[in-house]
Amino acid sequence: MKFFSHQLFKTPMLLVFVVMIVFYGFTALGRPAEINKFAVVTAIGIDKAEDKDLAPESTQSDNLSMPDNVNVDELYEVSLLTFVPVAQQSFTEKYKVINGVGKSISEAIDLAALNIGREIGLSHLKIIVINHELAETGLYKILDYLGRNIQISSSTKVVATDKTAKEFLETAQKLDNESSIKVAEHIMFNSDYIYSTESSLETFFKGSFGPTNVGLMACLSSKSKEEQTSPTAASDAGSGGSSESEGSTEDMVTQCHVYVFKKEELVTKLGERDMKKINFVIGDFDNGSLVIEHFSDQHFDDANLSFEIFGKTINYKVAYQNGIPVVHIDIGLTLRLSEVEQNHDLLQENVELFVITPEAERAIEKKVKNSMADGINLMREYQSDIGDFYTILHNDNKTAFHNFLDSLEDPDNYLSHMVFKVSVRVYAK
Amino acid sequence: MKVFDRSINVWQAGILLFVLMFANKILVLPSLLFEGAGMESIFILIFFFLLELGLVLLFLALKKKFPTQSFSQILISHFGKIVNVCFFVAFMIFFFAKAVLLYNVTYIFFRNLIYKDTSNLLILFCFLPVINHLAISGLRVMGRTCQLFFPVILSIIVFCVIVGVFGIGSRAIWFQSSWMDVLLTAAKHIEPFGDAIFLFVVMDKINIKNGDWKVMFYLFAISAVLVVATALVFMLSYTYTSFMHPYAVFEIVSFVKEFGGLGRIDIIAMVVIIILAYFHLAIYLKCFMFAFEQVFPKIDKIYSVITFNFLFVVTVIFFIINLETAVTFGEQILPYAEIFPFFILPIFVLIALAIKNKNVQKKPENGGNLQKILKNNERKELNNSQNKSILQNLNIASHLQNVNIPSHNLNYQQQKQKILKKQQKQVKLLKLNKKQKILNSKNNILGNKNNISNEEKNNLKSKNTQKSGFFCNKFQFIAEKEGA
Amino acid sequence: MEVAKKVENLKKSLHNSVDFADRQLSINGVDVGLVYLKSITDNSIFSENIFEPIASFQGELTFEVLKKLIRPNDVSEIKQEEIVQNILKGAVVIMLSNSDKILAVDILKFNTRPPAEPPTSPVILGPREGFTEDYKTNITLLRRRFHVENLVLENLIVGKETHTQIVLAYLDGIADKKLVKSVKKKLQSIEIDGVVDSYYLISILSSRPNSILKQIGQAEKPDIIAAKMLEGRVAIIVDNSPIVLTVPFVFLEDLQNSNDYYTNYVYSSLLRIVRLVALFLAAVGPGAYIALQLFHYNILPFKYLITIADATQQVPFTPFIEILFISLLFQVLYEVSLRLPSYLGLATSVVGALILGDTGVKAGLISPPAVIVVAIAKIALYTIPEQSSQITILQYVFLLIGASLGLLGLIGGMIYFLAYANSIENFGAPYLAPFSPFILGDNKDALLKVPLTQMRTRPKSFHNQNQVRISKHEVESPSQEQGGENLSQESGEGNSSQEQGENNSEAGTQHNPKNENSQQNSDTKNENSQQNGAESENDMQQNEQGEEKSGLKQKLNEEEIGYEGV
Repeated sequence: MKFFSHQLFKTPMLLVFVVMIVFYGFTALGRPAEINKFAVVTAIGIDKAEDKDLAPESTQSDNLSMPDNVNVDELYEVSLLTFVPVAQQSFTEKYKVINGVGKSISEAIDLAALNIGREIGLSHLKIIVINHELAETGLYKILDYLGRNIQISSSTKVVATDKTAKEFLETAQKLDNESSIKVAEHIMFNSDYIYSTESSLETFFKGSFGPTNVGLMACLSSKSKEEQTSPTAASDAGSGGSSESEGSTEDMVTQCHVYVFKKEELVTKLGERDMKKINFVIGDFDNGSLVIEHFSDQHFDDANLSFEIFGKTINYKVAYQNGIPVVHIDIGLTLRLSEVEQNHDLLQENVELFVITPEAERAIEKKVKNSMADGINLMREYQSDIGDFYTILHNDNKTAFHNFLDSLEDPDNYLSHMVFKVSVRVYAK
Repeated sequence: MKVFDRSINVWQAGILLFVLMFANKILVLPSLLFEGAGMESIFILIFFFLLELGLVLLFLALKKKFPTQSFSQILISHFGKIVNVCFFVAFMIFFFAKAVLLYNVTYIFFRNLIYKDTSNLLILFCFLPVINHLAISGLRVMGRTCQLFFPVILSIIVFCVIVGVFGIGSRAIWFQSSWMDVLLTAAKHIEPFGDAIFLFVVMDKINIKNGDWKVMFYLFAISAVLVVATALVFMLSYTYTSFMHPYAVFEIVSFVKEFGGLGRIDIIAMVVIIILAYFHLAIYLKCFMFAFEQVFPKIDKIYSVITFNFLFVVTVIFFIINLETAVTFGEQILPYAEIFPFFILPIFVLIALAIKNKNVQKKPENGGNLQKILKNNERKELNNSQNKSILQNLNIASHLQNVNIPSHNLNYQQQKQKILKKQQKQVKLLKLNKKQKILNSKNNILGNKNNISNEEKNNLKSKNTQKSGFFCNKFQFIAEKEGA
Repeated sequence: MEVAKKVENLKKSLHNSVDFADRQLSINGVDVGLVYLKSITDNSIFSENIFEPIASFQGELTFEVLKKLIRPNDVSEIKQEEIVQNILKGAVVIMLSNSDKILAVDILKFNTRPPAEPPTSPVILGPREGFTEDYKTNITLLRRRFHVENLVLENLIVGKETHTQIVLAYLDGIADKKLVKSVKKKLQSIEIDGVVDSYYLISILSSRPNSILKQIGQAEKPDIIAAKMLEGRVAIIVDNSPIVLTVPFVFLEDLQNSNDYYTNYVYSSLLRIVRLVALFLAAVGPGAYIALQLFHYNILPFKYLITIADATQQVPFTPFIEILFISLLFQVLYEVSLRLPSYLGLATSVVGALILGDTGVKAGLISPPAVIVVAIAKIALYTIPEQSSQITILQYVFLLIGASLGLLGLIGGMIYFLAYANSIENFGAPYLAPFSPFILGDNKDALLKVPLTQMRTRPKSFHNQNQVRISKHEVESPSQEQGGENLSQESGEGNSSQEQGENNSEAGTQHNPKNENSQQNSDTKNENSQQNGAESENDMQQNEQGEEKSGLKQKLNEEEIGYEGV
């Protein structure tokens, strides 16, 4: 013992280390796992509180301390989709929705923690769901809290829902509990392939803080489709169904539309078709489909052709004519003919499946140009530069572009005064 | 406690320099720079790295001129002791302030992202013993340990940059800031730079062989490229929202979608930040120790460690307690301290480089005076009357060699020993009374030399033979005394 | 003194040992006394080759005649004071009444086991001989591998009560002379009562005897020792110990296995990487697991979090206690398996597996992830059995650090430990060479292994007299694209510009106050070291001043000096 103590004193740093480890080591003996201290939240839903009685007394009665411009009636109800550990040796995911009401979102979350008896851990948050009413009126107040919270990753998906966020999360809970398809994965797939909007916190803030001040947010809906089932088939009930009732419900998440915000205000809601038109202009998304109706050439007669887009390249060239920017958009599309709908009974083995004829090319070009024109017109209509042409023009020729802006009466409406030319190149896959 | 410092080679010095180029520069700096100067902050980074490169090149030039001297010795010999003390006081303050800032930034990082609101004590307890151990173990141990972690650090940062490239989505807007914004931002956020002056502090402990300076240059260049790449990827990934993300290297990795089903790979960025923080603080402490030793030479080295620890704990716990105060300290106080590495020190170094070395021996025209070359104590021995003749012979012999013998040259020892060996050979020949051979050898040597007078030649012929035995013995004594 | 009296005195000096034997006879008036210990001598040789010739001699028996009569070869004339020592070493001592000279005939014989494959170093392909407790057998095994005069075997006696025979084996012309001198000096300076096993010498030879890290190489196979001697190391054979020591030692030696040299080099490289990863897992795995569970749930991937959360819900202990409990259980099982007879081992292993693997989990006392983590760590420990004791200690240390301080403390602990390892230099060889300091040439046989034909130089992490192993002319493979470049870079160069090794001439003292100044060494080295930046007088003065300030005045005694590594 004397020997060891002598050695320790010879190296004081070792002594400090040992003292420290002994001190913290004793605390470690009694420290529980963090998973048992925190409630792991995978999704947050934010609504306006309908039932004020759920709010704690302090928010209801403490009117004197509130500033004048704060509406005491405006309370938030936060629903948290929380992972609940189950004492099992096999891999089991169980979720639960807990609620809290408060004056602010942080207060509501703190109060929700009381319902579950644990601290709320937001490090594994994947989705933020906002009620469409809140999204249309007070979105930025909500996102301010979410953006400041260091635990929440900036790649967290932010979506709006046409119903209440609570209902959406309850649907998500059923889906997550009973199937391997998670709502978060569902949304991520949608963002890549369907509504083609990144729809994360980061992209929303990027759009809002950028020069265009435009942010996009997807809106989803949850549906419960009731199915009538026979007693013999009760065991084949779909996911989320209850075997006790005669009918079963099938829950699913579907897409509604895309919200467009400009300068913290809702400008419009874009449907799926409108979004697809705009996506022709944006170069980020290189998949989707293209349908040409009533097409005729030597191979087809009044056929509806569906093409699958495998790849898309967009090049922008800017020229100035009399101080007005002319944006030449050159699109290269790699297409594959996926379906032909015309009046024939049998599948004909046609060479044209692999060749895009000049007529088809013209038709595709026309279709794309029309789609792009529609998209640009939409942007002009709502004065929302979703395609981020501001950056393209600024980087191309800063001086000329800013001279152009200065020459306008309404600089925000620069899109309407710009000229767009489109050329399309089509490649067959 | 004994603290020993052995020398390090150029690779280890380069790796220590490499480590010093990170830390704050890949954490808070890109975010702060973007807030002030937008995408043009990349040029700020490049500019500052060029300034640091200037410091490194100044160091290499100084090292070439004074290969074995320490910076303290150079300052004393050129500017005096007071300047030396002032410099090292400035070093102490500089490194201490940088350590405090770095610790606070990383503490906030750890507290927010790794630990959940843990106390300062825990983080201090993690850092202090390790950095103290690294510093007390010596520069060589620190260099070796850093060398061991170097592949890990390099590969992780490269991995983070490559992964971050996949997160680049939106377009970045260039040239949105004015030159004034850029300059003001540069002046405000200069504090992470200037660490290259640690090379001057440990100057005498670094062994640089001929041609190996490139190693240091390459390592510095790699670190600069990685920092700039990290900042660029960060700014291109986040663009307008860069100001919302204070930890660049961590954020570029966490922004990428779930990587290969693993889930979170930002733990890798955390690991590298932790490793860099440890080594960075250890180097600061080591430099503080070296500076303390120069300012208080009579005090044991261990008290420098104690002083640092005490001041560090007090400052961290009572004065700088959150990110805001740390950033304020970094933005409002430290930029003034950066005048020292970027203005004051280079000026003095340039003066030292420009001044001709007073002890340098010119090429002897009439025979070099070996008395000036030998040290004082040896000179005293040789000043006896019995040895004057030996001195004369030595003078002639050295003249015969026609060797320029600067006193503080890297090859001084080698040159001197060569001379001594050659002179020993000559003495042996004299001892064997082989005059013809001597004359022949002299003729061979003298054939190219025109500066020896006839008188000196005669002296050599007459006196060397008489004094050969005594000369030889004394000479051997001198050679042994040299430490051969 | 008469022969009988001498014999009587000898018997008394050996405390009338039960194995003391003597024969006395008289031949033509000449008394002959033969004394020996029957427990350690060959009785048949004594009877047939020593006693019988003497007894049957008829003539005047003189000392010279006696020498010719004796048939065994190992005959030597000894002094009076050496009699007891020779008897104790298994010799028959023969005394004559008509001569003061004494003859000793070595007929040492005792039962030893044959050189069998040692259990700790099995090979798939390769020699299977192992050292035994008899040092002569061990020397034989070495002699069979070196049929050259360069093999030097120096004899030392250590231990006041045991007089243990120690043999220093090295190759003259390869091993550094200063190393040999230094080892000899350390061994000769030992004042210990007995050396029972070679392990006793380890703490004497180590520069840091209190360190947990292994600092002296150990091997049980002659091919391993021969390979190390060819690299320039000195082997220390200790009588009564099958473990032969080698110095200097670097950590890399334990990472290498003799199997690596008898199989494909790519496979060997892969195995070495696996060993290193296993070592890392063994040391840090449990600590990292506990740190992530206690401090960093946010770092864990979500699915892994679910697994751990579900598994640990029913466990009544906190995670740290749980993992300590499992670790201790494994350790108890290990100790039991070492000491139990084999017929009980099966029952114990079944009980252990059932308790830990199945029943404990089902009962909810322990969780499966913790069992898996600890089991992997314990198994990984034995990829390098030589380091198992050190890594076990580290395992518990890191477990404590991880539980107390989390990830930050864990990484800090690793840095602390590696810095500590870096500060160790035994006989001038840095402990973590060639990784740290990075020595390019030595890395050909470090983590990755190259074919033997490309290992042209000896390790540079410590000094040896001859760097070249394979000269240029011996490389015959025409398919080597880089052969020319490699040769020009590698052959005989101590300090090429490509290497990142440290200079030989670095001055300064080592961390251990007992170690000596190497300034004089650096000056007396070869030209290479002088050309590569020899210390100037200013630095010598500085170092001297530094030493004076720190209160340390050391003698520049060449014989005491270890020497700087590269």
